[in-house]
Amino acid sequence: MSDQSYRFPDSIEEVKRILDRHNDEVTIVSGGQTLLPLVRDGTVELDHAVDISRIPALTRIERTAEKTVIGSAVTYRDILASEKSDRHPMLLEAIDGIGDRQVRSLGTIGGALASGEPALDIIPVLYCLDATVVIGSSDGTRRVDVDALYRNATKETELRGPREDYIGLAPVEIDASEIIEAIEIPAIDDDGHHGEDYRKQTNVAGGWTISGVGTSVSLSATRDRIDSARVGLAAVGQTGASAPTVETALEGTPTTMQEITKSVEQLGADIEPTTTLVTSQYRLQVAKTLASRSIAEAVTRAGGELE
Amino acid sequence: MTREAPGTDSSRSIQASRETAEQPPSKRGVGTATKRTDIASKVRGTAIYGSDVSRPSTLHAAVLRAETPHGTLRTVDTTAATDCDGVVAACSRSELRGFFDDRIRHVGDVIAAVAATDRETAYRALEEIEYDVIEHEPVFDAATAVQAGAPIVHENQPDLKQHRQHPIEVTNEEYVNNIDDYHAYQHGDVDEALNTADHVIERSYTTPRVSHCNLDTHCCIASWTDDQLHVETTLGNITQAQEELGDFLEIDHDSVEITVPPTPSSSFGGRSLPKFTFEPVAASLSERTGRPVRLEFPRDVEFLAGETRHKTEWELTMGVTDDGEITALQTSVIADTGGYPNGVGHIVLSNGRDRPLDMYRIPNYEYEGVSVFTNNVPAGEYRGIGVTQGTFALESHIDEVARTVGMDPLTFRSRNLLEEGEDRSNGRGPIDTSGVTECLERGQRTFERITDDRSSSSNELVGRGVALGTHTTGSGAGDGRDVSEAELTMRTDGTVTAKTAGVELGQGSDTVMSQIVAHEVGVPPEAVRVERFPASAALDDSLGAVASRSTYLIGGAVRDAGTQLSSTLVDRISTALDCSPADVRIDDGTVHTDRSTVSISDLLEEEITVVGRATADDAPASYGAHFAEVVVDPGTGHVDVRTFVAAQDVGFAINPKMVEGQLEGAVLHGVEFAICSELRADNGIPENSSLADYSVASPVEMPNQLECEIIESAERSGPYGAKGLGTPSLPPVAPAIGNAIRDAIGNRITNPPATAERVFFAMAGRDFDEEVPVDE
Repeated sequence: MSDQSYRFPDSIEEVKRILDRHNDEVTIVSGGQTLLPLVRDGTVELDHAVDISRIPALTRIERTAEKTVIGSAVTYRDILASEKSDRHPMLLEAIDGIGDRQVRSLGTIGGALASGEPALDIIPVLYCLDATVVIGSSDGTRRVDVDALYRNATKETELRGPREDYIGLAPVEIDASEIIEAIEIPAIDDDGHHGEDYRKQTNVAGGWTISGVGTSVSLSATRDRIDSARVGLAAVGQTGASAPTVETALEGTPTTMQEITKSVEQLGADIEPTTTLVTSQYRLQVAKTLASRSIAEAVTRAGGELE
Repeated sequence: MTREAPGTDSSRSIQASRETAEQPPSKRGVGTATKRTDIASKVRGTAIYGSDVSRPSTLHAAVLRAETPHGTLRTVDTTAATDCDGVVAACSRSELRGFFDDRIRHVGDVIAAVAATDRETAYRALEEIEYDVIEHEPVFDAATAVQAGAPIVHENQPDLKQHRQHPIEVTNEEYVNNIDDYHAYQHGDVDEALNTADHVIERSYTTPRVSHCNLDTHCCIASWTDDQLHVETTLGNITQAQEELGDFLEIDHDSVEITVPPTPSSSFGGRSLPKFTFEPVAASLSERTGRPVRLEFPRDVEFLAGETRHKTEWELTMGVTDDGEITALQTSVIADTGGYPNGVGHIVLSNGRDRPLDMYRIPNYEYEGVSVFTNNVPAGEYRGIGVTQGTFALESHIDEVARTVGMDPLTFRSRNLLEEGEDRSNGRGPIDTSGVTECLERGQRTFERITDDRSSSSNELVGRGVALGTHTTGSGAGDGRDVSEAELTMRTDGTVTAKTAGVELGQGSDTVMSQIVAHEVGVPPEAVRVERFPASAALDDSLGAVASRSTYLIGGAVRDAGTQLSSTLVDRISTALDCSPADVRIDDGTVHTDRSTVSISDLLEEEITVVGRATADDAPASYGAHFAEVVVDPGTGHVDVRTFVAAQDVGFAINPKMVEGQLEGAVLHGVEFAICSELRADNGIPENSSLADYSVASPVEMPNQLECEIIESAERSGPYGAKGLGTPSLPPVAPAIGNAIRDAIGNRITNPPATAERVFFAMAGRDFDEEVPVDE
């Protein structure tokens, strides 16, 4: 290869071939909204770029009775504009609040997952929606849960400056020879007992998420009990985070504010809040506030009456 | 949904109202909301700003900047950089022209600079420069830096060819080192007054280091023709900038010519005067290469070398009687100048000293202020130099004092206001025109009307606050030394060219000048072309477009020229038509007499040129009373400024729409100061020097409902009664919001910005600074 290159492959197969041969040298560029600022400030060297934003198979949204499949290079804007994504209100409300118009127009769903940047709002949302990430390489294709991408990741990433604890690149369990091809979101078996919500706090509009909390709940047939819950968190840890302790605590509890607050009090067991932009104490407090509100709103949307 | 997505706030409304005190003659031009002359190019994106400009055969500069805050450069080797393909010159700091020594004084200070055929090559060549720096103990706290034994950043009052330096006598024995400027003043007997006061209230306040964050980053193109230096960049105070650059580079003032780009960039003080690591660097590289050199700051360098608002620490002690009369005020302020002076440490301190006395009756007063060099990034001019910080401290304090005495803060203020015609207690004579009482009354009336029926839910805290503010127009001296001249030329086609010292920085000065000419001469505003006169013109001007003087003083010169032009024109026309001058009426470019109606161009055979002049024999103070209502989220500490009323005395609104725009801009700046922005640093290294990490206010942070009340007090000395607006409208904004937050949460944030985190912990009754540990 020459010293520097910037390529636009026509197909996923071509990307895989390049990755197979040069995976140590090339960097995949999707929307570039996380990557390029890091290149510009010298944190990341980008000598050989493989830009996937023009590959038709990666920029499509498809919908079946069972699931919605979003290509990894689909932009936030296109998700918002597509009729095919309207069955996931939480996804749309989270995306609507991401960054600014430029970020939403260029940033992609797969780029967000691959960066692992835990302040990105989309990761906890996809976790709550039980999404599956389709990852391909020349060896084939594998499917993993969203949170599995980050759960055990230990990849050392060289970072510098005040961003190092969460803004930038975070460990992600994706090999350099692999590419995220698509995200599959299962259709919700909507028996009228499901509710979801995403909310966040930023220092200023369009700024980094200080704390973000997403919730999806399923209520009992009588709608007075939480059958199951997923609570996803943005910007509270080193990587995209879930709150299993809170989820477990919520399961089977009556839909009362008192029970929700009690469950949320255990949030500290699930996360180790970071200190970028605000103190960890504040981040935890805000995460608790937002979690209580998000769970309550999800319950309300599921038809539950909060006591 | 309980939240609204950014930018979709449909309930927001802005209204402006104006009750004209004294209408000018009903000619077209002045007093009407004429469309801005630059509106089309700015809205369409065709305006060419400084960083859009490129010139033929121009080289591109890159600057190697210090990563350590304090040290001495031992060696700088630029050999390898010079050898890079495309590099035309590489200069070490000591090879730059002017007053560059071998000392590094802040992160971002200049070590070396490269000029190359393109920008990327110049930046790559920086990596080839090797240097060796001996690090010195740095000092970042201004209160420490001024003490004996502190590391020396500069000798006291160094001669770096900054303007406005004046002899100082430091009477405080504890102030020993790193002194940029110092002021002490007193009248009456403060100690005695405090001893006998019914209440003595003492508090400290700090204001943060903040950046202008102008959208257009700094960019200059320097070139030499023989011994003549030409710099193309946006600078508001061109006359003094030329002098400073000449002195700094050790060339004649006349050898420096500054011109502005086709569309000047915004300033807010950030582009008033040259910067140590900017224009001189480009000038040096251009001299070395013999070619024009373009230097543009990357965004992060804007935070390092683009100057900031002085961080300040205030201690206020006020004595009052039981019935709310101020008997004494003792104020001490320490301002952080950073690594280099900008000549305005003096103004920070003098504004801190004088402005309270333009507002309140303070019979016993003691003031001490010092501005101090540290190894932080440099401070400089920023909208409301010192007065923005001082007003925050004073108006926050007044709110506390009123609460202590048990008085309504508004009533307390009214009780102590200086009245029109009343002598200031520092002996500076009376306030001629003060619309402050009307500002208070109308502002309060409007505020009550729009907040009256508000109900709040149980999970939000609502608070209301008021603050006053004042600032003088122009340089503030009012001693007749500040002058401006303008030249008007009417061509035979009936159009007029106005050459003025104004710089259209977005404040709308070109439009105002065209309105004044139109008004005086009787031509349509569109027939007036406004230009900046060149440095070589035989026209005088002291300070350019700074200190809210454009409309007041430059506009005064244009008006003077306009009356002359009108008189000459009428004479010519009456001669041509053989009628009495009294019978000639010119309106919208058309000449009307009893006998005929013809256009100016049909009658004028030779062009007319006149020169007008205005001097600032006064420095009229403008007043504002601002009212804020905030909603605080108790679960997060988030502050939403829901309602704001800015009642501002502008003397006379030559263009009410643009006055409204200035007020809205001030509110945006003030909201940002109150709740958003702070340039944080760790050992002198800015932690948030990018627009991703540094919080700036956007329309989402603006009040949902904003009403601007334009008060017109008809200032005797200003054109048509106008006085300054840009600076005076900002200071009351932040303290009004701060006082509203105090009202909402029962605790005061004395160190803005009142971020959600600070408010959250203050609300919980914890002292944020002392008790909440910050993780390493």
